[in-house]
Amino acid sequence: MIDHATETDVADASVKLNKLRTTLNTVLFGQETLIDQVIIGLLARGHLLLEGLPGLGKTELVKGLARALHLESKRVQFTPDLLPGDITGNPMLQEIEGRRQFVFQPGPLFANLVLADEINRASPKTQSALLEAMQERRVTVMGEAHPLPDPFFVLATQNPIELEGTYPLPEAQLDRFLFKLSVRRNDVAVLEKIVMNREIGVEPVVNPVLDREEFLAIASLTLRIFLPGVVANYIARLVDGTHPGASAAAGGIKFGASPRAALGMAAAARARALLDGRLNASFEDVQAIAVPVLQHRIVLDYTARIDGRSAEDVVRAILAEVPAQDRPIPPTLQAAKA
Amino acid sequence: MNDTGAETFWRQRAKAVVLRNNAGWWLASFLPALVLVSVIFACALLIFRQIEMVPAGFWPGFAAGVILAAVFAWARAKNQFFTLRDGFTRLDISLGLHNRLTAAAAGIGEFPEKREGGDGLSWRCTRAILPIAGCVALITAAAWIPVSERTVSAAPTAMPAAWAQTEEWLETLEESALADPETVEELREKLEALTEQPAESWYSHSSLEAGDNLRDQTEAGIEAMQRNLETISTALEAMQQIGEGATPGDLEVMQAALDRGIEGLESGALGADRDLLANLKGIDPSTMRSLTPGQLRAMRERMEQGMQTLSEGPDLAGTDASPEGESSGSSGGQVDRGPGTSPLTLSASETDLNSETTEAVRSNSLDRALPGEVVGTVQSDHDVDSVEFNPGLSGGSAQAAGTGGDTVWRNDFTPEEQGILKRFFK
Repeated sequence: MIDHATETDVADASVKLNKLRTTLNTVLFGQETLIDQVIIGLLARGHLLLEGLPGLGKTELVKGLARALHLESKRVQFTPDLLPGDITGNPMLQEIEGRRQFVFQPGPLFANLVLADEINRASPKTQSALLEAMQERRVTVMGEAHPLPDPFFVLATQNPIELEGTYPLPEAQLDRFLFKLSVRRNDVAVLEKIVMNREIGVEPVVNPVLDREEFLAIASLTLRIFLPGVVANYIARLVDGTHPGASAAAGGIKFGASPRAALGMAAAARARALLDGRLNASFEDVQAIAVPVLQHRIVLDYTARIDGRSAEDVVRAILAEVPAQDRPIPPTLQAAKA
Repeated sequence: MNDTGAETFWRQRAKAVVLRNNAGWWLASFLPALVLVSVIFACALLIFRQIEMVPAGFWPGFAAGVILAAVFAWARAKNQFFTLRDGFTRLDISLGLHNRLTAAAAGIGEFPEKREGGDGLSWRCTRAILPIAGCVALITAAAWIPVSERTVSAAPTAMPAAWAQTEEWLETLEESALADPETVEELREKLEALTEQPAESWYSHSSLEAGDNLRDQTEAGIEAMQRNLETISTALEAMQQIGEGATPGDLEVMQAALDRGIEGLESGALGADRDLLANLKGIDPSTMRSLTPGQLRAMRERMEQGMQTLSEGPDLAGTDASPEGESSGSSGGQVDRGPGTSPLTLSASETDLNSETTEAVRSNSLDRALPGEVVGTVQSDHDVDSVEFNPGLSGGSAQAAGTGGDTVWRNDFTPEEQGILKRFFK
């Protein structure tokens, strides 16, 4: 029997999360949706993959987040010659009390927030070193497992252009990321606001909003948000609809999403409900997080690529095709005109 | 749960949604069945009205058919029916309540404040109302539109000649009181059985055959009766002329002739009147002296009168009478005879032969053969190529080795792929 969240718990958490949201909006202008999605991702205990052109504020967002949550953050610039040990840590031979022995020196993964910059520039060997860390939240060096700090999040970025010399992430590793978020460019009004309020090379001042314990408490509260059966059914039908033949919109898909995607959608829907101050997840929550959860988990076939359809287009088509309610409307009734 | 009023309100709203959706599903299954029942009964009604025989149970039957369709539709639509949970979900979606009703119904949180607004659905008139209106219009039209009674325009007005002849002979036989009344009655019953058929069947092959047989049977009986009466009359005349001077030899000859005539009458196909037979059997040439000449003359006159009646009444030579051209056509009395060919007259309206069968028209002239007709057949040997077929290909082998510059590989795209490529290169 799950002890569902009470209205008081949710209201308190919502107040704190709104403060976090407001703080981050002062760091990154004009990216309200992206900031909400990042907060949702963290509440759902998921790793995030940020995709966007350089200079859009991805690194700034992660730094601001670390300061606002009062968490330890580290940044790794991925390059082709980066070795797995460079990120997980290496055993160093040290002389202790007259005896030489190997002592493990933790790498940059041992932080609460790890910014993996341009992750697709690292070799597959180094990329795969992240797999265990992201999934098991520990690293194993010389047969010894070292747990990572709690919370542990990987916020990876990748550049959609200049793909020469890069190593696209394999599907198995992409599946470890809860969200793939696209960072869009700003419009003129936002650019004007940035120019007026920022100086190049000067980082904005961010005061801590939550401490580590408060954040963990709120994250655990996310698990107690009620997920109605109809919403779970909707998630299942959406994920099933990503497989070829399961829906008309899945015509351009070669491989559909995994059950891990369904779990991720449920967790993200709960997190969004908590961020919105509600006791239960809803269809609207699922629809809001469907694209970031599913778009990197489906593999398009060549016809969709030639047709110029992106994974996001296909997911939106599936959202349009799969009705929220599993019970269809009789043909003698129709949607009323507004 | 503080606000029970809100809970009651939303539960009632959800029940209304459930009711409407279930009615919609039931209608979706019921309407096709209703249309089917209506079409069947409308056709049946038209047919019944045409033959002026609408059964008393027609409308109750129609009502029963509609009820059966309704029950069938309910059983079929039952699996799609909404539950109360579906009703809450529907309201959540239409009112943008973020599944608050669903959660509250599950005991999580409270029901929201009362709010107006429907389930976001409305009846689709073209699907829900039009079929019902169409069915009503169909049944009404079938019940009210004028329907002409089915007429038999070309029903024959005159019975076949053989039947008329037979009837005439039977009347003559009854008037003459010579034949056995029971035999005559039996023949008349056979004739009535033929005439009581629908007029359209009078000239069917079987009816004409039966009529001809009856006529031949009657004709043969009359002819036999005539011969026997003549024999008896001749014997009586001889008896009258010889009178009392008859020798025993004469008496024996006369007795034999009389017996032959009586026996013929008795065993004839038409039999003989019992009184007449009794009188004739009472004549004994050996005791003819006991008969007065007046009695002999009266008996002989009756025989002659009978012969005259039979010979004058029935027209034994007139069996070729042919009403409506019977036996005057090309059929000429064959098995397919009938009223004959249709008169080739120029008329505004076509000739209705009252025929329901379609017969093929065949041209015997090859000069006028139509496309598709067989104009001849030829027997010849098959032209078989005796050289063994050797495609020279096996699985996985190259179809063409090709030389420099040749296209040796070709990819066939599906229509879908071709469309994609066209769009790409457009």
